[in-house]
Amino acid sequence: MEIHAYEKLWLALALVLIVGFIGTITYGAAGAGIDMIDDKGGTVDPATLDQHPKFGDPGIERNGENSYDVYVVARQFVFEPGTTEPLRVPAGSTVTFHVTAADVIHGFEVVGTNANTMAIPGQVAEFTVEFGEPGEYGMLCNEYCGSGHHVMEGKIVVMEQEEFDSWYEQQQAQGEAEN
Amino acid sequence: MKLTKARALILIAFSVPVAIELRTVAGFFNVELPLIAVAVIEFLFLALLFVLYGLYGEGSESAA
Amino acid sequence: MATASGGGEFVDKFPDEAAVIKASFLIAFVSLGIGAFFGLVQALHRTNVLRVIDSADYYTMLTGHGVLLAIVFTIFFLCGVFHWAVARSLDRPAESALFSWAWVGLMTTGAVLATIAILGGFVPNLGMSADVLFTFYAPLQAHPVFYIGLAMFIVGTWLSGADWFLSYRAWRQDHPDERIPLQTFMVLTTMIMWYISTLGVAVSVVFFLIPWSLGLIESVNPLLTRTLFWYFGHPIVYFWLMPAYLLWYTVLPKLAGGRLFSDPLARVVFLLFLLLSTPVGIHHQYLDPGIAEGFKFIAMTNTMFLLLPSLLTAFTVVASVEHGARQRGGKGYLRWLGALPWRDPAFTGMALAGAMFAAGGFSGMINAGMNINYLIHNTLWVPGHFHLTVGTAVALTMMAGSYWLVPQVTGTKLYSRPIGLLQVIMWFVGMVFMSNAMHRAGLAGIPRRTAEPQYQNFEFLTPIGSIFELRVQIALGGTLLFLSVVLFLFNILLTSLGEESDRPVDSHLPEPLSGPEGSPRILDNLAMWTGIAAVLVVLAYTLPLAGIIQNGGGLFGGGLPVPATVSAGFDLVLTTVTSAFNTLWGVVA
Repeated sequence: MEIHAYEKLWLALALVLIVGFIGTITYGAAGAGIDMIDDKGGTVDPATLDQHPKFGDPGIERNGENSYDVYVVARQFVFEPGTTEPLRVPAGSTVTFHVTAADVIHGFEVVGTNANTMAIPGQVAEFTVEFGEPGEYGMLCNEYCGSGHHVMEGKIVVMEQEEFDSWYEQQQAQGEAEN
Repeated sequence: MKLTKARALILIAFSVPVAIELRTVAGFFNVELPLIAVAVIEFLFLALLFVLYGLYGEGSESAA
Repeated sequence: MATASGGGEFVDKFPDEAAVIKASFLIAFVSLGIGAFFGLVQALHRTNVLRVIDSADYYTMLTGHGVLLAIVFTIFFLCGVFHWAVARSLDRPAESALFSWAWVGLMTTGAVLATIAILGGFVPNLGMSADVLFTFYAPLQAHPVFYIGLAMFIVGTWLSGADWFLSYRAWRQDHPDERIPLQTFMVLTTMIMWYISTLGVAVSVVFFLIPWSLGLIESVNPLLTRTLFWYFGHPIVYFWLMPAYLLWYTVLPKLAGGRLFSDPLARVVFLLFLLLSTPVGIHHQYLDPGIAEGFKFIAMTNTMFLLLPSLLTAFTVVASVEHGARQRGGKGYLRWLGALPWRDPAFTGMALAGAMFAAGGFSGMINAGMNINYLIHNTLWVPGHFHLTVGTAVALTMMAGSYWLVPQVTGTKLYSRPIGLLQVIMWFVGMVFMSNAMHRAGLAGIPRRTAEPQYQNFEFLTPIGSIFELRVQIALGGTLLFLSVVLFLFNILLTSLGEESDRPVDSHLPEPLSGPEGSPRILDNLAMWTGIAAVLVVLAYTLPLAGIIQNGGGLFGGGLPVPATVSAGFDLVLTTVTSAFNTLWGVVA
């Protein structure tokens, strides 16, 4: 089979490009340790989400020094928490998100960042985010989820540590009073 | 080479992506180009093309 | 390839085939018109330039836009092209005109049913809607008619493939030692890829979505149906693209005044697509929970290798076009570009489509990058990308190709070349505006598939220019694209109404510079390549699917036990599908 010299050169360059792409991504995953959404979040029964120990009353939970878990339920057309109540996190913290959907497939995107995942009924998406300075982020649903998809949005408020602590204690107290 | 209608149209077509990404290119050199500057540059290009078409285009006598 | 060069025009030689192709094109163009109109309304709506519909109806239109353009227009058109290519390159009519009409009829019925279900969404009291978009992710549910229409359509495409395989088999009996003609080779490899990949969507629709929408089963496993969709959803991209490649390889060089550079490399490219198109679907699910990172990584590497056939195509097509330009007297390193036949809308449209496909390829590399994808997943970047690929590389090539193909099946001359030229250039300029702005908007985080991407809690920010400018660009681009489609349809309509001509178009296709003779015969061993493709699919999908079924609450989700009857039925149909596949294999071998 006759292959022109230029064509061979082009073929070689194309392969170098492809291997280069794969190399940078492999480095990103293995070397730099970029976290991917995968199956580590586990599964959950969407039909009994209300009785789930975490997703039954979703929100933020301290799990260590400066380290938190956040449980988020996406449902037509709200994020809980996030839409009616902003999702509050302290500045300078490490937050592990656990996101699932109650009804149909949704998306969860923190606007202007690469915090972005699908929210699929029955599956829990788990990923970790570092929050820096106090401020506000928007969040939105980026997967079509029904006729009100475009109103599905929310807010993340990054608070000063002290401010957050007093809010968090108040929440805890309220929770205990209800039980 | 004669500037035919087809060639002129192709040049106009390719000037559009260049124009709308001009500000990005300028941004690489830390030049902030306002939108109006881009519009003026594109307009000048079209005017130049129009003149060239008049000089060397179809129907003109001085075919290059 | 030159077998059909002598003895009259296509329409005179193959009147039955020409009629089938005309019917396919007609349905394709009607869908194009409706779909493009929906696109215009959406472009103006989501940018808040003009809102004539309710935002809830936006999604009905978006479903219509996706299904009518990406499924009905593209596939009907490509069936026409393939029918033409097989008859022309084998130089023989289809085995049975009745059978050809059967697949046209089945596909049409399916398309009409699905369209009725979608448009039902505009009539609130009808109780029929299918606002599930092109991807129909469960648990969003459409009316059963939508899924049934879809299934009929897919089965119709299977029959169309059988039509071409039957032609090939008959040809093979008469020509036992010849190489498969290039165009037929392209059609057959594409169809094998299509058979392998549509199994996924067929299983999803027939076993899960139809019974579920009829209320026969309670729930579905959303991640399973989604994964099955993408098992088919990426190869369909190549199903759209392969007819464009067929035209770029076999027709564009001729239009440029030359001939194809290399026949064997064209075969290699199509084989690479057959092998790699399917085991990559998981790259649409990089952000899905429930799929281990390793499987995503495998899909990513396969996807990156899928760049190879497209990069090879870029070389071959540009080389063939340059050869054409030099045949026409072009000189210099770049000055030869001026010697190309830019007046010819068929050439110019395909060349512009190819140029935009290069841009689309680059944005696709970003999508394929497993980590950088997080920045743009489900943002407007993604529609920006695929409006360059399917929306231009494919759609513009199809429209440009029509200027050369339609006269061959109608026997009438093209109504207007200048209008055609203006049309393809308008498409290019409109798409530059729209797609560029969509990519930029995506980088700013603006989501796709959203009627009103204007929110209460936050503003989107863009580093250069403003969001307002991007909106204006999208609206302007969308308007130009719609006007371009109107010009196209008008031109084709008047062409078909024109007077018959003895020689409507120069339809001769010259032989490639390097023919197939020197290439290994193993390239033509379709059974072997089918086997390898199947193995790759099994390797890429068995474990992820098993994991999804095991962890995601079984085949039907929700932790419900699988009803025994359904399970038995599942086994039965699986056996049937396997045996049908084996039969097909027998024909190929």
